[in-house]
Amino acid sequence: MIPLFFISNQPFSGKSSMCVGVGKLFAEKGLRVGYMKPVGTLPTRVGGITTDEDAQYISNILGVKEELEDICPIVLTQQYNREGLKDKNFSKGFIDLIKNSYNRIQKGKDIIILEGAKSIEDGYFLGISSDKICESLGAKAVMVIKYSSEIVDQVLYAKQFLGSCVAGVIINWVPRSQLEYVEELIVPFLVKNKIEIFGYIVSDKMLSSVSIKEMSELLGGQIICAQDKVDELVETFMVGAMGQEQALKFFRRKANKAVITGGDRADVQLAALETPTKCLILTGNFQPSTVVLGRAEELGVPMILVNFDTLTAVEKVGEIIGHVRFHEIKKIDKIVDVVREYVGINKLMEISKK
Amino acid sequence: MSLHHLFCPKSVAVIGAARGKRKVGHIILSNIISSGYKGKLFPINLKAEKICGVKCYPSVLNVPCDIDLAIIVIPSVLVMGVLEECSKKNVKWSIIISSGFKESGIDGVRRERQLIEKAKNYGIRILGPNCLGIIDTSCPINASFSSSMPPRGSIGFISQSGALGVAILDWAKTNNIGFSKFVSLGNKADISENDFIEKWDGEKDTDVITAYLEGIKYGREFIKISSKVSKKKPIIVIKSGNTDAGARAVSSHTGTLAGSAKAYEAAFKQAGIIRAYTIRDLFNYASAFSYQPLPKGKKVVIITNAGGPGIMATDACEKNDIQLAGFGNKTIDNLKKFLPKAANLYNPIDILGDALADRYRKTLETVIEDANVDAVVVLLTPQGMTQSLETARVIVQVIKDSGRPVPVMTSFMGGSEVEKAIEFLAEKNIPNFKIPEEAIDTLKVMMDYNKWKSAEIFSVEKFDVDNRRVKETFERCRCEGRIELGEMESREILKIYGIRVPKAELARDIGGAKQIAKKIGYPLVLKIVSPNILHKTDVGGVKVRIEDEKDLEENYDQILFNVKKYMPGANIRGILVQEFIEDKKETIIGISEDPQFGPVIMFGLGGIYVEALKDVSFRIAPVSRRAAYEMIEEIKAVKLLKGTRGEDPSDIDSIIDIILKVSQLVIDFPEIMEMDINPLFVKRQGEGSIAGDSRIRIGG
Repeated sequence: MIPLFFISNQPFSGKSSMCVGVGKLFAEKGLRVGYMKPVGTLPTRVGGITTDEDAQYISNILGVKEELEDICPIVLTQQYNREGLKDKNFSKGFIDLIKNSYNRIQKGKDIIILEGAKSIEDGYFLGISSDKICESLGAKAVMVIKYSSEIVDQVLYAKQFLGSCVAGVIINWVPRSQLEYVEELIVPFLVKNKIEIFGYIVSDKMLSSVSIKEMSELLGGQIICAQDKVDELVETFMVGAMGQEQALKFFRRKANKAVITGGDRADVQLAALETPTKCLILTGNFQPSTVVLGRAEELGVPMILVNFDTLTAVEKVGEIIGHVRFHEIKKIDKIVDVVREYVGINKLMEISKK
Repeated sequence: MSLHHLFCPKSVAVIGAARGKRKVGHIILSNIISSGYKGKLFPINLKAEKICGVKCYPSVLNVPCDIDLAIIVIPSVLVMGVLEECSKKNVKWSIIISSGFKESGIDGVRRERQLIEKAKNYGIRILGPNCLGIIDTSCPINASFSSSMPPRGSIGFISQSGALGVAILDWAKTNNIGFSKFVSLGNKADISENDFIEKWDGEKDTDVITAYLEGIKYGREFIKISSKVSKKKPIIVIKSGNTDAGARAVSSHTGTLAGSAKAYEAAFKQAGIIRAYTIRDLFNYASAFSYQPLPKGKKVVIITNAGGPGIMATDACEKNDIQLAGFGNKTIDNLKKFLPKAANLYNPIDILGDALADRYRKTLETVIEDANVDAVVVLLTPQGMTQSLETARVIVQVIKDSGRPVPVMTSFMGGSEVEKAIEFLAEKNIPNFKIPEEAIDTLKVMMDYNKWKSAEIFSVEKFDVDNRRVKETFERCRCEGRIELGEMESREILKIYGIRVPKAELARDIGGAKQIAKKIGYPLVLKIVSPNILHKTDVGGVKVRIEDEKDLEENYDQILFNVKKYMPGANIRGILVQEFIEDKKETIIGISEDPQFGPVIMFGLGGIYVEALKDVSFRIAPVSRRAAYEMIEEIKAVKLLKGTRGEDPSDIDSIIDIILKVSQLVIDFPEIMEMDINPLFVKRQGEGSIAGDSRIRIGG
């Protein structure tokens, strides 16, 4: 059995989603699936143990029962960085630690999914970058690369960094408008360069979306109406500071959005409510007018009251959307569907059997 | 559905009738009694035996006979229970005065939603909630908490603002302006302005419908109903919230969008609505329509005892495109018989400052009989010898004696000197205006209305279109999560709707472009085709008038370089090689979706005429051929289309056809939220119009 190591050259490329999607589909085929994130980068404390937030969540989703210390044996905390920089021997036993954990995890499993750190170079100075882990565990690397105009350079560079342990690539987040370009030029080029393509996945806004509830929590806001709709997902956002007529035209351009505007701008709020809007983020801690609040309740559109200004709200919301974990059941089902549709799952199974 | 039981019920229950004199439940009951209501009245109060001397009942269920109308004045939380009792009592009409519904926030919204649902199940119609009530002066009944009952008259008034309604009723009473009905709409949970306009069409007591509106609930229905009713009686509307700040105020007051000013303007034109911009205009117009016959034509005579006001009135006529009537010889001869030599016999007739009532009488008697006169404006300034009250009397008498139905307006200018005269005129239904310009403006409104009333009704034409492929295109867009259609897709849609587009083909490379160029012929236009680029010109993606192959090679590359520079990530499908249209005028047709009225069509001349001068016209789709024609006639630059300085006229008929086809397209596909044909090239008369470029955006 060869473990499959899902790695990427940058964060938020979709590694965790791939681990969940592929893992679930393997399980559907009757395989006993193991999961491990050798190097964690999102520290969290669970029952007194320091582990990785994603690792803990994904192991739950995949239903793996091993100890959290084995699922994520090393978590790159600030302390690790400091010690590693001070003491050259600090990381000496890391690879063995990972190997031992892996040995415990793989017992009784048909297939093991490994998840990489934020990028392939993470932990390089501690000797635990992705290439080193691949080598020590005999894993095959599945690169999950987010589409960009530099994708070819990125794939070729990653292949060079990882050497012979590269199994192939999954191109993620391909905008629909670029699909033709990817199919006609990029894929044939990579194949010519002996890089196996396991799939290319068309962008799905839903997967980069965030629930209204989570958005409100991350903004430290207060949801003041339509409490029954807080699980709805927001895919994008727009800012409203113009007159009503222009606002209407502008807001029609995007669906499933959050609209950020001043709490005192009843006209903009109503214009947003007339268009496909999932929630309103009202800045300046201004309570909206009762009639507008009533209208939002009537239409089932939550309003989040925040106590900072519009500019700050824009910055914060911009960081949240597209950079969120998929902690909603709706999203997990969607991920499985997407992987089923776009990723060559049988090819991955073949590789793990070699 | 007749509104008879609402305005003239045989029996009324006031649920929540109160003993306290300052309570709304008491005021309403007392207003009903003092208005002289002759039907049966049942105050409903749990504890009281009698209020205002009328026997009370603890519930409508205890009332010994049928109830036509329930007026509910109790706390909002109790309304639902009372409505259930009303349903058991088989009450069919209710006025809910109580507030605490949609206007009061989340709980109120839920309450109103529940109220609407229950009322529907019970078959009870609701006026309000959160309203002032109704007044009917012929019934008579004042079922409102306005203490002023206006005099009986023929003006029906619908108000979306209760408090403004109260002020207007009081003002009307002071100025002796008669009303037939008054209704306060409140939250419009069930009955809206459309119901009243529709039903007042057949209402004998109401000759003029007036309204103060902040927003219209069902815009398309409003146009449909009003355009029919306005052919019979004038509908005068004040619509507030026309500026950005005003719109904001409407939004936070009513919780509805004020709507776009241009959409309202277009809708009112199409519905034959007379628009007033101030309360004063509203009642100037309403009283003129209510008391005077419509002028048959545009010729006015001005009679004055002062030169200045006469000149001002003349200026106002010119500004409003109203003609000063020329007199026949007989009239001139008759005027000469009694007017002093210094008087001006010609229009405006200056009968001089020393004119007494008799000179006014003789002058009015003479001109009113002249067949060239369609309307008369009598001006008076109170000079030392002026007999203002007597003059008012003779005016009334002359009108009474005259056999010709000619509208006569007066402007008795001044204060205390003319006060009694004005009161007398009001009593005798002669509209008096504070200044002459107001009288002329009002006449203009009456003349326009007369034109509307007598104009032929044009129905909307239907083109035979097989639009299945359009449907497929929109479905494909939705599946791909797109809301913008590219030029190639928009071109195809226009072609399906019979709108001509330039010859064009997509080139994948320069070789292909040269082949296409040979087929189409020079000169050409080159345009980038990319799903990521919607504003092609902004990224240097358009080159026009490509004269030859060398030019083609250079510009083809230049477009690609520009796009690489400004939109490096764009996916380029190729370059559209398009026929260059010569000898044309550039116009624009645009569509935008209005939340109240649906698709609004815009027309204008392209370039600076649209962008800098805003010389554009609007109509709500669907438009008739007549409306499309008016759209073109309305823009100032129409002269350029008709041909100036020896230029050939443009093919205006083909523009009308395209407006009609676009109108049908947006009605067939309500998912279209925005659309532009820009430029629309208009060729010489008989040569047609061609959609040079187009863009469509659908709902997300």
